[in-house]
Amino acid sequence: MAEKILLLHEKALRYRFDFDQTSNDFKAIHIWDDAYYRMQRYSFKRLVFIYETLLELPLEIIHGNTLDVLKAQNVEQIVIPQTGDQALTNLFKEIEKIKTVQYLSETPFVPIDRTFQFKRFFKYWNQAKKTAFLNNGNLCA
Amino acid sequence: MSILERHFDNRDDLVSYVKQLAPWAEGNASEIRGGRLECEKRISSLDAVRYGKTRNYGNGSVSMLSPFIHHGVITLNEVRNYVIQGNDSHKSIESFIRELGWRDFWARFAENNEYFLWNDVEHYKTGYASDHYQEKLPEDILEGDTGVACIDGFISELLKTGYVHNHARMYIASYIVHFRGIKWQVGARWFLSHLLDGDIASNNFSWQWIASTFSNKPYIFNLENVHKFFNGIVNTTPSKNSVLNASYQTLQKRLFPNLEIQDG
Repeated sequence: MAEKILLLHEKALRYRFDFDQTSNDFKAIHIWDDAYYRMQRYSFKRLVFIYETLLELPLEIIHGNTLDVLKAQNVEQIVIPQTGDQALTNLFKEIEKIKTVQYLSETPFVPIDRTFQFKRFFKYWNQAKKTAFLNNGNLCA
Repeated sequence: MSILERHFDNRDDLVSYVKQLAPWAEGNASEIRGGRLECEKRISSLDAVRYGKTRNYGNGSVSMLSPFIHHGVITLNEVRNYVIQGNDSHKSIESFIRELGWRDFWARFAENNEYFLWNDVEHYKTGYASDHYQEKLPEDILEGDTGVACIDGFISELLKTGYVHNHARMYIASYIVHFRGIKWQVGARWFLSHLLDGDIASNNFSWQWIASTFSNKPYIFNLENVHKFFNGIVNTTPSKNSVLNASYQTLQKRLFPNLEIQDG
């Protein structure tokens, strides 16, 4: 039986993460949450695009409310790829109230402190271009 | 709660299935397919050097990777790593890498400034206050029936495929905000609902860049510019695009009469 769930949300429709995916102690799922997709006001075009992408991933697609689906899973830990998307971040905070959540970070495009404020692109780019042309942004991934 | 289907005989069956799942969603399926395999096809045919030379043209060598990046099928880091392989000259691929940087820049700005996703970062530099702009998108724009042929062509593409060339997005946004006097938020929300790559940070801040609430001046365009970059792709006949058929100086004066006319 899986001990963890890898929750692949609609901003992380891939299967390559810095996470041990060779063991059998986890299963990957996507929750087709009607209320969430309606709230996003996604067009039918976008929903088909998402579903088509899901079909290439080794996961289970579960139809239902995100929190209800996760509550029904007999696992304690939920592994979630991080995203800056606010609607999803708010949803993840609700998940944290019912399960232990482990976030998977993404190798950044450039290694600049994310809290640093750039008001104009050229100021960002003057910093970013120092590593933007390097493999993994000059980070070990 | 139920487990959903993963196997379909063909795409039509998949599309019908999604329709049953989301009868509330408007429109038809796009011809643009999802999935990692489709994404890999696009990245393997990507020519980042040619992109730099042709990206502003409607038939230019654009990657069309944005829907895949937005939905995390591939990351900015992966795309960059792919592009720099075999391209020793930074200069030749700078346009493409910088474009990835724009996406990173918008995402970072949004993370630190959530409020500005739907509110003006700065005031309009158009000679008008924000309350000058309308709150509703007129039917003719929603239906791509504005009477401005090139704009209608671009809107038709948006509605049909959920994808529009970036340069055309700028034209549509500028038309809506500056030629029609509509709040950028209204257009941004409409774009988000249709674009396969509708990313709130990239989309909304780009609209603000066009509107001048996140840039130093409003972005405008004229028919000559559309003809140069999209001739043969949309109808650029002057009689079918009369509102755009003017010099920049004339348009500046017409669209922003409260501002002093600036040369160039």
